[in-house]
Amino acid sequence: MFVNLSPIVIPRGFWRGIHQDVNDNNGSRPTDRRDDGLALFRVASRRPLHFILFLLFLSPICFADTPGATHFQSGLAYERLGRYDESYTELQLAFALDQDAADVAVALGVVAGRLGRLDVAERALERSIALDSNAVASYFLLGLLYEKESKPDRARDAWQRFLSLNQDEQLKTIAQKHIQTLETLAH
Amino acid sequence: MAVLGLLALGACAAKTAVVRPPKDLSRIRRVSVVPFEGPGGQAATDAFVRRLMAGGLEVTDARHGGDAVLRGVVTEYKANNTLMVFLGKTMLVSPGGQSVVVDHPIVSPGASLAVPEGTAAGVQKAQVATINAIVAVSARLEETPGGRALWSAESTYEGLDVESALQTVTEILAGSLAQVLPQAGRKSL
Repeated sequence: MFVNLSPIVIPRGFWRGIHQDVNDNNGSRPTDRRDDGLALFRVASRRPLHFILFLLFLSPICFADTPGATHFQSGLAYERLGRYDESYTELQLAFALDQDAADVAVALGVVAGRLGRLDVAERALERSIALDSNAVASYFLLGLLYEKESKPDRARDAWQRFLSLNQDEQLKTIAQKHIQTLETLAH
Repeated sequence: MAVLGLLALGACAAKTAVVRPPKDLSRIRRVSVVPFEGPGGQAATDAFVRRLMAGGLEVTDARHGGDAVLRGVVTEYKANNTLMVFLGKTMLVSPGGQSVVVDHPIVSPGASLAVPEGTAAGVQKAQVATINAIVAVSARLEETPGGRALWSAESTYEGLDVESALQTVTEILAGSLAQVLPQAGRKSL
């Protein structure tokens, strides 16, 4: 199994080994890049071969990545391949490791929605707008989600917020129709 | 005209194509539902039958005559309408060349907005595809015998899946029908 982080191919177990060592040493996952860096020095002493591979093959941008970012990139790569189950797993890991990243939350919400895991999608999308109140896509998807869950008031609020931020004319028409429908059916 | 205006206002979520000022429709208690045509026709028929029965009407199939006949066509039944979600701050460019940075925008396939190639510093371009469903139904109530149109309307709606889109379309059209046929009842979403 390999994870393709173009243009580099990295054995998948490599990251898992590093994560394992980090957890063994700290008792918890690294929370920032400094922790990651310290952990890597520990890994260097315990797994020299891994560390040499790391220096040889990883680009500077990957060096700066947190484990959450790695799972996020893997999740997006799987999503592009149409492998939604794997994408969902990777994005869930990314979300667990980095709960303050709005883009991770949006991506997880989208993929969870595609898989019909609506409770996860709802939580992720709501988290994304808590982190970034201008996350346009989240309002659109929450509008649809709340309608399916028969929460018309929440749906109307989401559509209205979407309307105030959206730039796409076709989606604007859709949002207006949904608001009108929700108001009509409410009376 | 006043009646037409009132009906159009009440049924604003549905596009009411034909609503003729009805005669006394209170006699209509039993509606015969002809299977809807088009993709997803059976699902739409079932949804309408359930909705009309919940509203209090007696519903029969096409072989058993009713006081009126309901026909319909499913003109769109699409489960995988794709929209692109761009993650992070994304620059969108209008046809006029004006650019605007939007947080996590969602863009329809035929949108006039474009996402420029290349990545500006600090502006991400990761993207994921989301899908939604679109269902469009056109329905018509006809007098029996004679076949004169008593009511006709069409509605298009988007949902997370075809089931939720169809449910809302059914609800919208049933609400529109209830404007001319109060015994069809009304039910909130």
